[in-house]
Amino acid sequence: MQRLNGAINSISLSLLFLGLPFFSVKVLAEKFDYIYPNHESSSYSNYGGAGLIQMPSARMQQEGSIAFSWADFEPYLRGSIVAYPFSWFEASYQYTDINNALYSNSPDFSGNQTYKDKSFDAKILLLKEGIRMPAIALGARDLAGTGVFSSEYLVASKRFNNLDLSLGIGWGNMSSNTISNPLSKISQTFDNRTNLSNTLGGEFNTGYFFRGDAGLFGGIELFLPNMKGLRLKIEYDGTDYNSEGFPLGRDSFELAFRPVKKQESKVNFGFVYPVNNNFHLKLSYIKGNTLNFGFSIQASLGKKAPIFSKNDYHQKVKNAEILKKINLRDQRYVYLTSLQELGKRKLALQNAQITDNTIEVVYSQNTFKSFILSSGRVARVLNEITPDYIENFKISNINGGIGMHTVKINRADFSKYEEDKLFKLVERSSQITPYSYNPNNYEFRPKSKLPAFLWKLSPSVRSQIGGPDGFYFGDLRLALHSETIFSKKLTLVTSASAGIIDGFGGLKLASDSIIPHVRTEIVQYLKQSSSFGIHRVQLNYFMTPANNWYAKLSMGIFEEMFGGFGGEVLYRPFDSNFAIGAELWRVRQRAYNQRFKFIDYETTTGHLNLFYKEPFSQVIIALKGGRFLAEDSGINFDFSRRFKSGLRIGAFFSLTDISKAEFGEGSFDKGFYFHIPVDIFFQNYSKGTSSFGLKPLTRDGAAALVHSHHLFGITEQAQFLNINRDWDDLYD
Amino acid sequence: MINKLFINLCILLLCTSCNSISYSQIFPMVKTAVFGVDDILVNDEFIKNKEYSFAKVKIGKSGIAIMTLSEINDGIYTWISSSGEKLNTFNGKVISISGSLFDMKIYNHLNFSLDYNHTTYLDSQMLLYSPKASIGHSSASKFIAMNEDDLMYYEESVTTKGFKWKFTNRYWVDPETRRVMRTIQQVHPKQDQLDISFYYK
Repeated sequence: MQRLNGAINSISLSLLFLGLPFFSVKVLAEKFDYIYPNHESSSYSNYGGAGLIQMPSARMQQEGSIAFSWADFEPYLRGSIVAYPFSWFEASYQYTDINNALYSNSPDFSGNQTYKDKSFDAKILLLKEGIRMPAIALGARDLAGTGVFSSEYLVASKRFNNLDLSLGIGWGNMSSNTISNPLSKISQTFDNRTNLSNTLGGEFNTGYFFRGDAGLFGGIELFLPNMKGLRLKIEYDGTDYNSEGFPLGRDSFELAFRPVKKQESKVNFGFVYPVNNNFHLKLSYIKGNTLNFGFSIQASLGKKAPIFSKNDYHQKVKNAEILKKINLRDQRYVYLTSLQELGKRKLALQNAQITDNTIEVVYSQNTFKSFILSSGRVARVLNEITPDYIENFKISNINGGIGMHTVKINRADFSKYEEDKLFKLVERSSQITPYSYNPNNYEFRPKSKLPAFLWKLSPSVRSQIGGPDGFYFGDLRLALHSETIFSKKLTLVTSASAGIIDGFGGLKLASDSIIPHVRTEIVQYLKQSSSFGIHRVQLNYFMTPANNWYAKLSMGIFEEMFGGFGGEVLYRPFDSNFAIGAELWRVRQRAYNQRFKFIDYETTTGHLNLFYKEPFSQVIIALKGGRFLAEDSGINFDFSRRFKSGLRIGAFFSLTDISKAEFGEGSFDKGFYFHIPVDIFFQNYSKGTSSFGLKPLTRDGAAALVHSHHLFGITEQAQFLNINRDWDDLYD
Repeated sequence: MINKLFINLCILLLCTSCNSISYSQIFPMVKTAVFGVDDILVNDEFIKNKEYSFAKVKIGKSGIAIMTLSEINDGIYTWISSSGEKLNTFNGKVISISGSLFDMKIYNHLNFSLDYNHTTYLDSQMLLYSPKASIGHSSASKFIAMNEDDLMYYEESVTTKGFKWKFTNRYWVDPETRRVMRTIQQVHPKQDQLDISFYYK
């Protein structure tokens, strides 16, 4: 076996570094995509990010891509969530089951459960691939915490026709093909690497980065012709079971209950089969003794209609010419037909007024994410039914009875460019202005039937992942969500759910927190509400005290764990890209069964909020500074990016005045989230968003109150840049 | 379609792990992912309401469109969709597509025919777009059998030169009018096959 491995090593290395020209098949560029289908999407390594088999490459996916990658290679089983908020940045979060070590040395605490490691990796593209230059990326694995797989690397990747070559230098866990650390020539501080000790995990410690021995690694990804995109990967592995993690390597790991597996070869090889651009299967033979299976699912969700193109087109008004003639007789007919025809298209006309040659309409809608699209739909209806003397459409939008914006469109231009969808020419003659709503300014004020009651039933799944009691606990529930609209400004939002399948039986972890248990009694909340729970009964009243100022007063049950009263105020200048606000809440902790009772803990929490949106990249920076639920004070930093499809990818962390010991495991609050617009899965438009968020640990520090109808969210369309970015949707 | 199926189901699982999607959304989502988009029912009333000849075009499971016959020129039928895609057919064979994600064009189409007695051959060049590539296209078409609707069933075996792409197109022909009533064709290697039903007026 040893001899065989030796032969494989030498042959593979020859192929890798000497025989490349034989594999690189020059194919006419025009047929390349057909001979090597799906070649444009990178494949994933066992460690989650884009790469070879074990080792990373400098490859990235398109910005706005999200992936799940799974790999089984003894003694590890790893699932990773990978996100690309930019084309130059890859972030991944993984759970690794280390199946030859125990979760803890206390059987009472975690039984026979094997060790679970949470880790965070990041990779930055330093240089894009050019004709001569390779792509170069700098990255780090297992950046924070226990550092079981901690390593840093610099890697270059260059594509030669159907062959993608990667070569790199790694530190930490990637340094088993040892060379002297080139950085030691700069400073002696790079000579030795000391991993973290006495850590509560979750801390970023750059003190050991790029230190100690360095090692080389490399490999190829060879695209095989006319084989439906099948790829062969061969790599020279820089990792070693012996040296993985912990100050003295895995042998020193006191929780290990089996000897550490020995590596028998440094050359790994395997195949990746892209079932399509999004789903890859992989099978490899690594370390000379381990069969490795895995798969990855990835999707680029950032672009407009990334999965299904929409077929929810504007429906032309029937008998429009006849209506137009009738509408010439009396303005009231214009208002009534507008009310009816817009209503059929899920655009609720609130008010209207014709002045000289301009028709002003006020509408609200809850169907389209893009407010240029909804304005375009309104304009199409008006264009079809209003008399020809109307030359301009002033289309104003309201939300929660608050004026948001006005889009003024020149009818002649809108009509002229409709067939060819030349939205840019319409944009030139259009105006987007702030809007202050006063229904008394309008001649046409149809009465709404209030109170209105809206509701929906939905399945819901609650999950607890990665605890000492077991890797996964969850339940399946049926949830009722409702909103009662008493007036345009007064609404009641409710949410409750009943359990269908209860999977929390084995969950027993009690809170070990030494600060008020505002979140860490999660187990009690989950278990005691398993049959039925009320999650929200929140009464909201919205106001606009002055131009660009918005306010909300709320009371009731805000979330699973807290109820009370309070309010929020937001200053959001229409023409700016920032907003500033404040919120203050007096809240009391709810009883664990999530009915109407409360327990003793009561507090006042409040924050100053600052939002900044970078208009080109659509990056939103949100800072929330103040007092949190556990009466710790500090700042929450939140960074997210919004994409054209409505997808948002974000990450956050919080620093407060409690010590790491008070915070407990994880050291400080942090996490990431995706807000995925639901309508990307459909051919028709809808405004809903489904969110996925993950905090490595549920702790009490930096816990903020969760309440519905945040002013920053509901005033999204009260800022010029959030409307102006979507002109390409005008004729959709 | 498998792309969309995987993306939908996986993201569905991902999303429901911490949040909820309403029932009204979840069923259409799964249905679209598994069965594809809703079919368009073409019944007598639908046909009666159409002023011109039209074609129902199904693109794998992911898309469906009604295309109206806009002109016939030298045996080339031009069909146009409401969203601007244009399809040209000659004796039922798709010879060009424009305005779509994966456009294509076949040259020397005049040699294409479906003959009851003989196998017919077509040697031509095929131009693919997205990405652009010109490839050799050879086909042999022959009558196979009458089907249960008394339509003549033909198969066209296509081989291409340039890369490995082989497929079989299928045609159902009305024996009286000799017009193709339905066809299932591969038109682009990156596109799901088209299933086209023609309704002549």
